[in-house]
Amino acid sequence: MPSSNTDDKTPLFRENELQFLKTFVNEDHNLLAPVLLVHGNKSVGKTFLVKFFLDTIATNKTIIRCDECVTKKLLLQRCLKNIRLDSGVDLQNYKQQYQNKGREEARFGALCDTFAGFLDILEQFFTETNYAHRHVLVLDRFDQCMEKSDELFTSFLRMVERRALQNLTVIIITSGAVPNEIATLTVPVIYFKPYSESQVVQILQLHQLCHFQGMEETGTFWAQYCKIVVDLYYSYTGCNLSLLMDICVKLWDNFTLPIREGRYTPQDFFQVYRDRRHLFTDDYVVDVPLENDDDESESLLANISDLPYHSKFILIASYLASFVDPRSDINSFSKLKSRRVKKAKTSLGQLRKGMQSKEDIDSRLLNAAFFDLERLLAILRVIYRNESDSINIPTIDLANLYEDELERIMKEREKEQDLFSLNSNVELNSQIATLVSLGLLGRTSSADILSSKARWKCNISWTIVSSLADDVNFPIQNYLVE
Amino acid sequence: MSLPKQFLKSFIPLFFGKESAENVQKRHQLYESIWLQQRKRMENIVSSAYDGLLSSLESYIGEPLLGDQKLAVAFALLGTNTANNLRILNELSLRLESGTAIHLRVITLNSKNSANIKSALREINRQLLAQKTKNDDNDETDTMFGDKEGRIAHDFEIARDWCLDYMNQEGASDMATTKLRLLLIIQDADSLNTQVLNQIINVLHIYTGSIPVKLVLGLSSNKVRDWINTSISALLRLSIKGTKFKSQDNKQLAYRILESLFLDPENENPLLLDSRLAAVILNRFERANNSLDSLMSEIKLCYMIHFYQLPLSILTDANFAPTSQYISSLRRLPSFKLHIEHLVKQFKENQQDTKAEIEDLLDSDEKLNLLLDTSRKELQEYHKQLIQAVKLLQTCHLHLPQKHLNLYWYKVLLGGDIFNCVSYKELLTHLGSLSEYEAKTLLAKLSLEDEFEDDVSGLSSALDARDLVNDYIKKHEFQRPLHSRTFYEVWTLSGGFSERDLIESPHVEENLENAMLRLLRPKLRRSLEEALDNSSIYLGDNKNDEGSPIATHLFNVYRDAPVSINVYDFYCAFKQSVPKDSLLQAMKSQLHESPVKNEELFKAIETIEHNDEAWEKASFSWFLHTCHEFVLLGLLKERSKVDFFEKGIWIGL
Repeated sequence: MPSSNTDDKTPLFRENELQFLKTFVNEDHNLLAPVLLVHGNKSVGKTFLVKFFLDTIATNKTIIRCDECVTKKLLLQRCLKNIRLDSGVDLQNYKQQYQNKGREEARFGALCDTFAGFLDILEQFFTETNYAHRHVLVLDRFDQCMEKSDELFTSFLRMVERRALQNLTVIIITSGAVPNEIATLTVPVIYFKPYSESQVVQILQLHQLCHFQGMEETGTFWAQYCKIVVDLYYSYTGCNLSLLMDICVKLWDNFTLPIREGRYTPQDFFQVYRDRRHLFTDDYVVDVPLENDDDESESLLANISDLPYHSKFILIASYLASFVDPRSDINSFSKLKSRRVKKAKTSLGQLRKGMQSKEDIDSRLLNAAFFDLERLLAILRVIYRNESDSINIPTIDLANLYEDELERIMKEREKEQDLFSLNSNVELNSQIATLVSLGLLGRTSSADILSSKARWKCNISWTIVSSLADDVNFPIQNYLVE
Repeated sequence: MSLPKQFLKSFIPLFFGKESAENVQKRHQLYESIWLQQRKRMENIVSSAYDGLLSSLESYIGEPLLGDQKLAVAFALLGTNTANNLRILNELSLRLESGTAIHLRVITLNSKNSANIKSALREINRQLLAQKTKNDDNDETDTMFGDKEGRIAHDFEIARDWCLDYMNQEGASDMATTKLRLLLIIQDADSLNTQVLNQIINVLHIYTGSIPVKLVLGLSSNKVRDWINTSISALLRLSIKGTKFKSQDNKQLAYRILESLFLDPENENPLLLDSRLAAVILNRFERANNSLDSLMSEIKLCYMIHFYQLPLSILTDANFAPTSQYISSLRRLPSFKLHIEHLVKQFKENQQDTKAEIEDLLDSDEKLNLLLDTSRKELQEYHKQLIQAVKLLQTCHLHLPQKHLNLYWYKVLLGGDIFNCVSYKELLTHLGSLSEYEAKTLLAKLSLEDEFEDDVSGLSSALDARDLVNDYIKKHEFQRPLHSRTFYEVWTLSGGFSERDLIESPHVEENLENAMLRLLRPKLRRSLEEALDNSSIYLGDNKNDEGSPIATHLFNVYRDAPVSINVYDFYCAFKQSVPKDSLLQAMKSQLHESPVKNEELFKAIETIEHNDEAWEKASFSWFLHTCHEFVLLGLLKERSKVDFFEKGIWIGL
């Protein structure tokens, strides 16, 4: 589809939108729309077109990026400050006495607590300086302000009611749909249609982002390259141009490697493509490029392998606490064998109806359950006593000792096995705290961690915990079997 | 050496205060010099260990900025120990601040000072303007102190304007020419709220065009890709350019420190490490706390305990001539007794006529001095051989699948268990089964060492290698444990003991106890419970149970109570358990004995005794008072609204 406008600088495929803008932002104050909403998908040229348009007409303009404003107050302060700066009024001679709630205010930071306060000061500025020039305030990425700013829509709409501000137009750019607040009001809205695939290709082809260094080049290679990239990824990126551009730039170096090596010339696009085809299906396309990224051998345990031994046991205990039903604790963790488990069999009728009780599902498939800290500690005590390698040194190590010595040590060990508890170890608490701060354990937010209301849960997956168990030689299956 | 006074104070005269001030001073000097030397070794290792990481980070920061509107982010992959990570990043900022090549401003954020984006930005501004006073959370009204326009404190334009001012002063026209670098270090990116992190990155990215900023994220994860994919939003991922920096393994570093301190023949460390203490240090590091700082402070503590607690530690100095005071205390050492027993046994069995020798040692100070000298030399020799033996075993150990640490062998050799040790047996079998080529390479390797050169010459087969090791161990009598060597106590770090250890039962492996460990992790809960159960440990002997404090009675009730306790039931049980008459009698008798006569109190007790209502009141007030104390101790918790107490979480597991 050939573009009707051949001028390089005019945005492509946005003639209608440009006309709308021309209509609404008019020289005549009476025809000027006080507020204008521009919306459409991300990266479809909204800001670009508005900036382009404002550059073509003679007007004072102020552009605020709302996503860098932490609060509404800061947003309004930025507006006020930049309008004053961009108005062309000589601020050296004109010193505004800020009136804040009827009092004079020296600090700029105290202003604009409310929208009315902002308007008062703005109006004061307009009247005192007799500022009548047409002024456009662009609020870019209005929906991305860090504080919720929905009610500002209506506030800006009401701005027309101020006589002194008749010459001010606000253009609000958002990437979402028309916000509910103003859906029923008569605000002019300019909708930016998403680009079609062929339009995207054309736009990219016209803006060559990458070049061959020190090589004669024709535009065709880039054009073909863009076509391929868009063909392959349009279904993933949609018309988001910045994503596509990023992919183009990211793959360029690798893609053109055969040319730089001199194997092909820039004319042989299809040979190059055939050579480098694997690039387009690589993870690399969506991954973050990292420098120094030499070793890719990141094992499952990579981030927790250097935890101390006890911490690993705590993690395993937390997994057991989360995934073993508290009712079966006595079977899983106690030496008592006497208690018989009465396994509730699901009746056939229930199964037919597709009803399964929680017990029928493998607990590993369920969500991690919250548990009390005491239960964790109790489980830890049991599993550490049963499985830790330091308390359970295999008797073969002792076989070489003399008999009486052996007997003594066996006695001592038995005694220790009965008495030993990790819980007397003060470091246990700091280890738990470390695990929480690493995000491996989670807890319900509560100020007092010792209160009975604070409940904990395991935050690692089965794959990690099973490799962790392998690492410390822990037979985790034994504890999970019903 | 001039010493700070507060250090001298902690060195109290030992021998029940009879040690001379001069000797105390000497002991202190010895401690200082020996510890200083060891500390330097440790610090050298630690500071050089992260050299690679730090200098690569440093040069990364010095690199020119990215021109392509992307934010430069360095991902520093650190370990799971937050204390270590913090130290590395602190060292980084120290290094950067001392460097002069670039004009650098370091800003450090962590999860504590950046709970939300407002506080994070405020913190950036604050650190940039080097504002000392900290702003409170009342942020809606506060404006930036020190900002000439009085802007709101979390306005990032303050930081931008600061940078622009700086670049103006510097004379740099744009970002490419300026030497200024603004470096933001986020110390614990894992703990930081992901939303806040994304917002910070977003804000910084917006300003990358106008200020020279770089970001360093300290991660405690090695899986950086996963981390990025889960923590940074897809759009922001496009706007950063990441670089990965890997730090050294922290565990290996700790082993290097221990080896350099205790197993390096070039290190002139006069003190041996007790095998139990070696196990304690190793276990603690591997199992409970993998922080390097705490490892270093542990070792320091061991040295401190040795010199604080043991008057004989002064004998470390070979030039010190012991007075009779020292000699008599040497005679009380267990190893000396063992020595005498050994001599007596020989005498009894008529192997040798040792009678004169025994008498001399017991009576003559000179003879004992001589024995001290010889045993000093012997121990020094033993120490050397020990280090060599560890080296020998370690060299021979190369092909075995399960590799033991040097310190493990050290421990085994010191304990005299070497011939009973399974690993040693395995090692010997393994050596015997080596192929000829392997045996030759091994022997060639050993012959490079001066110490083994003579022993190795002429040997070639695998069996020779095996015999060499076994002979070496036998020749130097490593089956004799350190504890049987005379006066070993003087030159051995044992980590000290506390008197309670003597009462309690012996422990193996995990439950190793000594003063060092006790100081590091007191058994708070147990001590509290024991003291509440049996007050006589602290209050001296009470002849009968009745005189014990109210808290003891309440504690007995508490122990039998369920997790949540009804206050009224608790009170009733408590009232039942308090023996009214005998308690009041005891109080009265105490009042009689006390030098201050308090007639009013005496009368009050009289009334309580005779009037039931007064008794109820008194017991109830005691009850409330003690309950409150228990709440403060953490044994009890008050439930709001309901009449229940709840037991503290740490039920005695």
